Amino acid sequence: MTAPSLLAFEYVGFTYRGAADPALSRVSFSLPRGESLGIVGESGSGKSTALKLLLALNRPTEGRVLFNGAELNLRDRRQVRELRRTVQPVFQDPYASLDPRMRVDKIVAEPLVSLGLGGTTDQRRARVTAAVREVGLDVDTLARFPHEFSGGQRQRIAIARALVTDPAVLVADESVSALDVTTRIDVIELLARLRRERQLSIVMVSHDMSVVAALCDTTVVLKEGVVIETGATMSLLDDPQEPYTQQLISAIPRLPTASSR
Amino acid sequence: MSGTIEVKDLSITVAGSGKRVVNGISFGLDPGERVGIVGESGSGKSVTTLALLGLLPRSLRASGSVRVDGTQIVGASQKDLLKVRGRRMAKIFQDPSAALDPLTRVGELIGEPIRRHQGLRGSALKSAVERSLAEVSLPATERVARAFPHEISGGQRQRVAIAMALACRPEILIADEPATALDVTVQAEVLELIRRLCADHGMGLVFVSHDIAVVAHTVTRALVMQGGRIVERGPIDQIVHAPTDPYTRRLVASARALDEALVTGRIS
Repeated sequence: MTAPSLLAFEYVGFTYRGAADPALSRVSFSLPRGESLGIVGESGSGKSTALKLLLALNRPTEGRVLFNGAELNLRDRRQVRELRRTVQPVFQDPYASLDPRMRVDKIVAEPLVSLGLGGTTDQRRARVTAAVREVGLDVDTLARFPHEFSGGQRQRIAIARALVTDPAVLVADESVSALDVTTRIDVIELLARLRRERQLSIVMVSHDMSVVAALCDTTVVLKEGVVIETGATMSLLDDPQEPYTQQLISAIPRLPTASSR
Repeated sequence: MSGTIEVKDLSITVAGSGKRVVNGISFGLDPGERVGIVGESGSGKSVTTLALLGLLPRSLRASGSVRVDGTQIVGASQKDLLKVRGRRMAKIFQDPSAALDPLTRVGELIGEPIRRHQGLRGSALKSAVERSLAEVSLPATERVARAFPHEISGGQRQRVAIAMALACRPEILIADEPATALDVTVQAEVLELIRRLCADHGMGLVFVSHDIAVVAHTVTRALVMQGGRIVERGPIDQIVHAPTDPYTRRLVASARALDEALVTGRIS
């Protein structure tokens, strides 16, 4: 018997209160342990709604979200706590997602504190230090404030905060889109390394196909709340079956190659 | 000569601290030419476009010279600036929702500059607005003309902003990241629209973006800015295929790495 998927959607639908149309309908996918998934779509595709459901911030109005094979129930505090430890978010805008009044050590320790994890103060401190080192920042980072760092460094701090609970999944919401292209490459490389070294799953919610191509085994293409196409990322890029996926791929601006001059 | 920009030794400093955000740059634009400015955050590319229009906030001071068709912009009076803006030069911004008055209907947004600069009224104004809508490939219908900005999509809002910018038939269009905030499929359409309008009207273009791939498809010549200086300039082909400055090389290599990820599935 195969181990159950870490996270899965089963015919998930979601309608915001007061909205006429569902933001998501009949969306299904699964995330096997250690694999990575890209959720690709444009504005209005429902990708952010899917993310909120994965993080148990909302409850689906139709269908089920499965966590370790069991239906996710937001009233089950033990289960939600386990999800919060296992599935950690990294948000798009590192300027908005780090509290400017907190020093970095406090920011990174926050998930441990709010989940009551990590043992004694000294043990927590050791985990925070290890997380900051793991994302390639110096230990003297800890005593400083977010505004002292560049966008790329802040995103590293946000990733360190996510790693501190020793999660199995990082849910990244456009986590590199706001960064300059040279910095973006560094952060993608960091995420690729964490994937390799920790067998960490990454759920990358993005409109940027090249980021998804670099990090995700499987990709789900969403449009207006519906799954248009699902498949192995590279075969989806090489041979998209749906016209919308083809359009999405051909619209990516690429540098002219020497032969196309 | 009409439709030329000549920037000489332009510096922009933060009033008070004296910090230089743009450091002695010089470049020019010939009539009908399309020039790109590529740079990352903090390169000074956006404030440079503001200086071209005399739109710098009070907290920033420009020195040096910016001539648009011979008119000096640095230190110009509001009256002189009004003569240049709109007629000679217009700008579209990154975020169309911020550029459009949320309480004004699309038809009035486009009609206002036409009425002001061309003096059209009544049915003549109405048909001019319809022509503007059609020109930016928006449906020239009552529904669109009566819509408020929040009732249309982001791509449509940027088209409205472009129609407003073109209302006075400017000789030069300044576009600061005009497609960055848009979805990728919409982005491709808006860039195509900008290219078509420049070609149709022989309009000059100063196109600013962090995305060198987007710039490469839009302009013939480009400047690369880093930390307030121009580090490389030349025909876009040369910049993309044979960059000489170390920073430009890194920029091109990063863009290539992202393109290659689409083929190999890896960032290397």
